[in-house]
Amino acid sequence: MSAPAKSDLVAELAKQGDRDPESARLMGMIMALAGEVFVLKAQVERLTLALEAGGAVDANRLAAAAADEGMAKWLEAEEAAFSRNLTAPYLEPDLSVNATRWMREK
Amino acid sequence: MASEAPLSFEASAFQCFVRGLRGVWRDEAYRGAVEAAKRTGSDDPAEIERRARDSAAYRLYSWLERHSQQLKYYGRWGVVRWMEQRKEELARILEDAARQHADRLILDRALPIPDYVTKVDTHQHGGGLWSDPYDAFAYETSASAYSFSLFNSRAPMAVYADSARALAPKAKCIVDMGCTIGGSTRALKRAFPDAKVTGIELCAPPLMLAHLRALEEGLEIHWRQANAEKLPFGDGSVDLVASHWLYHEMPPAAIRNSLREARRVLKKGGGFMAYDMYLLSGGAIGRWLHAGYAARNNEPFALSYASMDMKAELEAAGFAAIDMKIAHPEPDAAVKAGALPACRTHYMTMITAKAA
Repeated sequence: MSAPAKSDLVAELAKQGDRDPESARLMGMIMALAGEVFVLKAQVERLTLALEAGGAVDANRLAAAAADEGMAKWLEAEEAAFSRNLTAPYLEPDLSVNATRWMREK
Repeated sequence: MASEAPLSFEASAFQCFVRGLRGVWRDEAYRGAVEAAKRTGSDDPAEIERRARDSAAYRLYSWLERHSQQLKYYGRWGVVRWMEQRKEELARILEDAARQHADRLILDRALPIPDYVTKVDTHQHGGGLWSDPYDAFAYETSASAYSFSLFNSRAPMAVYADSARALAPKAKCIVDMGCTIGGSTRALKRAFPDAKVTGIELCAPPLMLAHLRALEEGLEIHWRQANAEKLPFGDGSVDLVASHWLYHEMPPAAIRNSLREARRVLKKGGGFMAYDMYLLSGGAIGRWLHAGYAARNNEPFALSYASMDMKAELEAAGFAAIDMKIAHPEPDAAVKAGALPACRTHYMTMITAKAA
């Protein structure tokens, strides 16, 4: 079988969404999760720095905060947002149009 | 006037995360993809694409190239998501600015926006820059923080202004085509404080933001919503026609129209500058990487622009003294000799010419 002509590059690239959609979707979920973790780590670091500076952190205060009504409300809201954002890349793996047909413009 | 659109702490942290992913794309994944391409032993980019696609490094590279951009805009703390929450406030900021020195900002709400702008989702930015005011702020935040290949996005502006000074040192009337939010236009005005500098742009939202930023800096710049294919200036009335990162977003037929229009409005001997991704490094693998970027980041005309014979096109449009060279970042000796760079790099080519 002879090799396709060089002009087939666009045709090859146009298949970008079809090659391995399952792994692409899972990769999207992993990266969404990683983004959550990164932001969370930044928030924890910010909070820790602020609390340490004010001398406010100790075991009793943490236990009280865990039992607070505000914490329960936060968990309820966050569990929905977290799951939605984590699974969104699997349900909608590619948000952009495939614009490769424009690459044939002369 | 509160015109800034700063990101929240979380959105800024999320952009750090995306920038980290871009670093992997630019360095480790790129080097692995290049090794996979070399193993194919082919000098045909299509064959390289077919044979390298099972490489884990290339799959990671291409996934990151496509999806890190989507995360940047549309992840949970992406810049478009953040700006959407403030859309009414941001629209009001632009409308308020438009009322100041209103004579400097000419909008044409009836201007037809070509489908090569409206249908492509350039940079994977849904709705692009033409549809909603907050998208101009999203673009500004996205473009000012770091370029796709992570170089300092302000450095190319300095090269742009220096080249303009060298090409047309006495220019009194300057047109900056496809100016988007006006960063390149402001660089020209700073370099030519006594010249009348006009930025033209197809889309109203970025032009309004360009006007705002010029007001904030105290620069008297004129802005017109117009198409580079049909410039709103008289024959032989302009000393310098420049463009920054424009032609890789236009199909060849539109570029040819723009070249003819640039020649029409320029005085004889006037300067022409196009600063964009044109000359490619690294032979077949470099071309394969460039085509992949064009496809994956919805910049399809980046490939057709790099395929055009710009010297012949400029000559046909009535230009002479044509020069082109990679202007930023400075390529090392190996790259100049045809090798690929050590990390993924979007080299900017400066094309200059004189109206014959």
